[in-house]
This record gives sequence, C-alpha cells and structure tokens, in this order.
Amino acid sequence: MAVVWVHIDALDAEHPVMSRAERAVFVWDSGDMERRGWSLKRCLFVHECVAEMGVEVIAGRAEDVLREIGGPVFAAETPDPALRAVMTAVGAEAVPGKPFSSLPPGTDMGRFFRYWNQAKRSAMTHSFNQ
Amino acid sequence: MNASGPVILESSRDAAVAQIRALCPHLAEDDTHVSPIRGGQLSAKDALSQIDPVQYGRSRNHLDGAVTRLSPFIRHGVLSLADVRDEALSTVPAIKHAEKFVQQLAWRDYWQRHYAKLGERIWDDIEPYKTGFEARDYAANFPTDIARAETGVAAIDHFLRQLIETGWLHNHARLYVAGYVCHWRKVSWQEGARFFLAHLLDGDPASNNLSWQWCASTFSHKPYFFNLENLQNFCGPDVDTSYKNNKALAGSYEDIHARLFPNLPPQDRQQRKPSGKRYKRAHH
Repeated sequence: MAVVWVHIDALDAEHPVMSRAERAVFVWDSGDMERRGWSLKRCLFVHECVAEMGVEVIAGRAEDVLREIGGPVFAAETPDPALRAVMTAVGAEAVPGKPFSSLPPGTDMGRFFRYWNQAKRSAMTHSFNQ
Repeated sequence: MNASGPVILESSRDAAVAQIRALCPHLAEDDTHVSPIRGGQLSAKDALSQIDPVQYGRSRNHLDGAVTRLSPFIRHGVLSLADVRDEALSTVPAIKHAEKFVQQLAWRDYWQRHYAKLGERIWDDIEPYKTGFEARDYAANFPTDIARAETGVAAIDHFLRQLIETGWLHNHARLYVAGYVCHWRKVSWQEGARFFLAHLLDGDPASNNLSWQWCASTFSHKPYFFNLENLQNFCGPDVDTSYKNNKALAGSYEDIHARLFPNLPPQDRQQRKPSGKRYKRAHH
C-alpha cells in the first residue's frame, strides 16, 4: 500500500504528493521538534494544521514509524536536511510541489537579482498559463 | 524520548495544548504562550482572501503597514508560493501591480534553492564578518536579558515580547532585533537565529539564517545597523521610541558606526544609510 509521509514542510491536503496516497501519515516526532528547539506555540501551529488535514497521526521517531508501516513511501520534496535524511533512509520518493518559478540551467544564484532576472517571467505567470 | 503509537489530535486549543505537553515532555513549564494565529487551511485561506498586493507594495516597510501574515502558512506548506502568487495576480487590475508582492515571494524561493544546496551548512558563516571583528569575538551564548525581553531598550523589548508572545514579528522589527543582537551586544548570529527559530511560527533555517547572516555581514558586504531616528520613522504609536527609553540606539549613523565598529575606518557619507532590503524581503 502506497504511503504518503505528510511532513512539516507540506501540511497541505492538496499537495501533488497526496494523489499518490493510499494511506497518509503524519508522524508526531517530538525528538525532531526538540532538536529544532520549537516552543509550544510552534508545536501548536503544526498540531492545528495537521488536525485540520484529517490524516492519520502516529507518535514516534519518523524513520522508525515509516519502516514499521512498510510499503512504497512518497513525500513532498523539501530542502530540509533532516527530512531528507528520513526520506533517504526509508527510500521515499520525493514529489515536487506546484512550481513557482523555472530557471534555465546554470542560472547565477550568487545574488537575488541575478536569479530574479531569470525567474521573473515564470514567477509572474499564473499557474493556469504555465 | 518519543512517545509512540496512534494519536487522535484534539480539536480545541486547551485540549491540544495539554496533548502537546504530553507528547513533548521537553517543553519548559514556563513556555506557555500560544499565538493568536491559528494553524490550518481555513485560517490560511482566510488570510489569503485578504491580501492587497497594491497596498502591500506601498506600506510594507512600516510596522503598521499592510503586511499579509501569510508566512507561517507558507513556511509549513499549507499554502504554496504558487497559490499565493496566483491569488495576487487575480486580485490586481494589471499584472505589473503585483510585481513587488510576487518579488517578495521570490525571496523565499531564492533562499529555499540555496538551502537545498547548503543543507546543514546553513549554520556556517558563508563569508567572514566585515565588522572589524572575528567570528570568535561574538558571544556563543544567548544573553538571558534578551531572551526575557529585559534589555532595558524599550523598542527592542517591545519587539522581543511580541516575538515571544505571538510567534510573529514584522520584517523590519526582525531587522532591528537582529542588528541589536549582533552589533550592539556582539552575540553570534547563530545564537540569534536559534532564538528566532524557537519562536517564529514562520521560522525556517533558509530565510531565517541567511537573513541573520545578511545582518551580521557574513552574507553581505557590510553590517546592518540603524539608529533611533530610523526606528521612529517606521514604528507606529504602540512602540515606545522615546529618547529616554532607547538611549543606546540614539545618535547619527557616523557616531553609531564608530561606536559599534571601532576597528573599521570611519564611515563615509555615501555608505551611511543601511538598506536592509534583502532582510525585509525574506518574510511576508
């Protein structure tokens, strides 16, 4: 059964990764929250987002919980190294979100406006027209 | 240590707080603040329906300006940048009126692309400090008076209280706090960044850390600082910007530059005004 790992960077029931879900699970990983140093209000904000999504919630260490569930795992693409490490450990397939901008290969990212000059055309175009 | 097993999340706030305390025993007993900003798609869509890209472009640098407060929802992917961009484009009479707004969204895209390459190196100095000091000259512990919003500088304490109590701070206020922590107090940007990440609902290491580095001068060509006059220009009446309660911030840019960076040559008039644009563009 295909499992979507709903993680803290993609608390959106309409994220493209959710179309792969036969089962969607958020892991309440308090160890990860502690490492991030989150205060109560940050934990509460995430709690409220997840509760409204109505997905299955399991407390535990994300990697352990996902291994125990088994099956092919899908997760939203993220730059977060801790989330990426879990995805690598369980062999999760990263699914990109809705694109905001597209850049030609080799775009100079050294300064924002060099990036913006390349990204502007796509960033200023409505998704329907992309 | 993690609790384990299935959890049914509580829906009322009081019950949710009790549940979080049971799930996260590491939370300190005196960590009691909850934000007026509620999580979830309904709150996000409500905030999104109220955006005014034109007014945002005109007033966003003022602490009482028309900012969106969408950033916590964007940070956790409740709303995507594409969702927000599409809404902005659909509310303006012509696309050009949304350009400033979309450009601010693009800063997050830019930082995230850097984060994907940097990974954990997001915590390292990208470049040396340009303050006349070495990295080792900056304190590696976060001062207790700052953490408690008890610095004695009224405006800074106001911003710190807002951060601790609500989990949200206007971009310009973040800049003032970061400048104060790094340069008035000589605390390493990493300590300030950790403090912000603990409290900001929208805190993510990409926008947060790279913006702190911009302020510290480890990702820019000069340190960001400000003076009381600048603060008075951008703060509303609810912030105490009086001279008598903010003496540490008072003075001309030349005077403050000489005071904060005694090892640097005197600042010439061309370099006097800090821009702060990159930091301000990092958060909505």
